[in-house]
Amino acid sequence: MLQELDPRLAGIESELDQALNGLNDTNADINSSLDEFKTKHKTKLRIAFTLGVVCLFIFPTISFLIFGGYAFFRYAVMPFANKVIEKAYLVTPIAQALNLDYTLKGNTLICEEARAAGIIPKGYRMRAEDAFTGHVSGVPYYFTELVVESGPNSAQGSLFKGAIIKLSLPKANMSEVLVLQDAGLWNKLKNAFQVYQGMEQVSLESVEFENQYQVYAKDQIDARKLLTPEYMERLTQVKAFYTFNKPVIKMAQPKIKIQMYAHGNELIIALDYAEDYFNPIKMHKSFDHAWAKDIAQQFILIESLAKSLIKQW
Amino acid sequence: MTGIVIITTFLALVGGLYFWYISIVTKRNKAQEAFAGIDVQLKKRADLIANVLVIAKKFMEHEKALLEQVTQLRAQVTSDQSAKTSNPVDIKERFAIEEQLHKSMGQLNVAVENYPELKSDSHMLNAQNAYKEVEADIAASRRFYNSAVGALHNSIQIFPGNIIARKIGVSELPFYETSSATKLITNASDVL
Repeated sequence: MLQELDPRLAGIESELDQALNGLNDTNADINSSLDEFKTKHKTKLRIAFTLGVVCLFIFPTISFLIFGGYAFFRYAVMPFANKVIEKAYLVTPIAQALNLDYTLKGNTLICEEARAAGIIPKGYRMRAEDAFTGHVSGVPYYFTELVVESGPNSAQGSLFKGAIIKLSLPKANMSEVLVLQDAGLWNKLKNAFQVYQGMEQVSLESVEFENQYQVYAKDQIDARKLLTPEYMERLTQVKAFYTFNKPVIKMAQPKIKIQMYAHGNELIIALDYAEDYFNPIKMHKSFDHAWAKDIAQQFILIESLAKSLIKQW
Repeated sequence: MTGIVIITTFLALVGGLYFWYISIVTKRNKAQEAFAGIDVQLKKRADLIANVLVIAKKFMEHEKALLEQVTQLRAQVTSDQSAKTSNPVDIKERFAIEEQLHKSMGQLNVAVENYPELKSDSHMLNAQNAYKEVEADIAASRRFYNSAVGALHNSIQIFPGNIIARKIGVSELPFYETSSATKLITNASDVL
C-alpha cells in the first residue's frame, strides 16, 4: 500500500486505477474510431493501397517515402506517444498527492546552472524531461530528469543521465560549496584547481562520506552548515536508493554519482543514476504497483533530503 | 663522496623538520581561527540569551531557580570570554561552562512549553528562532574547530612533531564536545 509510505498517498491506488481506466478508454475510443473509419472507407482504402503499389513502380522514391513515413508513424511514433500519454496519466496523480506539479518538459536553464557550476559534464547537448515543481516545508523545489549527450548523434551515448534538483533556501546566504564525487588522482588535480579558485578542501568527520566525496568551500563553516551529519546521512540514503532499490526498470548495477553546488540561497544537486527513470519505453504496459511505489519513494526521499536542510537554514 | 651523502642527508633532515614545523604552525593557526569562529557565535548566543531572559522573566514566575541558573552561567561565560585562544585550560573551562549554559537553555526551552502565553509571544518566538539559528552556527563552527584540533593533534603527537611542538610551545587544544553532537538520526525505513 502506498499509504504506508506517506499518508498523503492515501487512496492513490484507486486514483491510479481510474487514471489507467481513463487511459484505456481513450485508447479504446481511438482504436474503435480507426476501425470504424477503416470499415466505412474499406473500398476507398483498398483502391488507395492498390494505387500506392502501382505508384511504387512508377514513382518509387515518392512511394517509398510515403510508405516509410506511414510505417515510422504507425510503429515508432504512435507507440512512443502512447507511452508518453500513459506516463502523464500515471505520474501526475502521484505528483499531485505529494503537492508537486508535473510537466513533461524540463527547464534547461537550471541544467545550465548545474553545468556552469561544474557538477555535470559539458557534453554536446542537453535534454531535460519530466519536471516536478513544488514546495517542501515552504521551500521552492524543482526536479527534472536530464540527459547530457556526448555528440550530435544520440547513439554516441550520454555523459550524464539522471536528475537535477534545485532548492531555494529562503534564509541561507552561503558562500560557495562544491561537493564532488571522489575520483582519486583526478580529484587531486581538481583540488589544486579549486584552491586556485579560492576554495579549499574541507575534511568532514564522517569517514564513509569522506571516502565517497571531495568537498571544497570558500568558508569552512558554511560547508559544515550545509553538510550536517543528518544531511550526509540522507545523501547516503539517496545513493543507496538508486543503487539497490530499482525493482521496475532493472538497472544493471549502476554507478550512482551525486554532486552538488551551493551558493547564496540556492542548492543544486546532480544525481547521475545512468538511466531515464521515467523513460516511457521502459515502463510496463499496465499499471504496476512496484513502479508507482518506486516513483513515490524517490520523491519522499528527496523531500526528506530537502527537509534536513530546511531545519538547518 | 661520504661528505656529499652526509650533507644531503643533513639537508633532507633539516628540510623535513622545517616542513613539519610549518605544518604545525599552520595547523595551530587554523585551530585558533576556528576557535575565533566559535567565539563569535558564542558571544552572539550570550547576547541573545539576555533577550530571552528579559522576556521569560515576565511570564515564568515558577521557574525562578532555572532563570537564576541561566543568568549566572551567562554572566560567567561573558566574563570568561577574555580567555586566550592559546591557553588550553581556559578554553576547556570555557567550553564546560558553555555546555552547561547550553543544557540550561534546553531546560528553559522545555519549560517555556508550560506557559502558553509566553510560547505564543511574538518577541519570544523571534528570540527562540534567532537562538535556534545561532545554535546551528555554533554546531557548524564547533565541527570546524574539532576538525582543526584533530589535525593539530595528529601533527604534534607523532614523532618528531611532539619534540618540535614542545620546542616552539605549541600544545594540544581541547575538543569542544557536546551532548547533542552524538545525536544520530534515523534509519532508512523512516523515510522510505
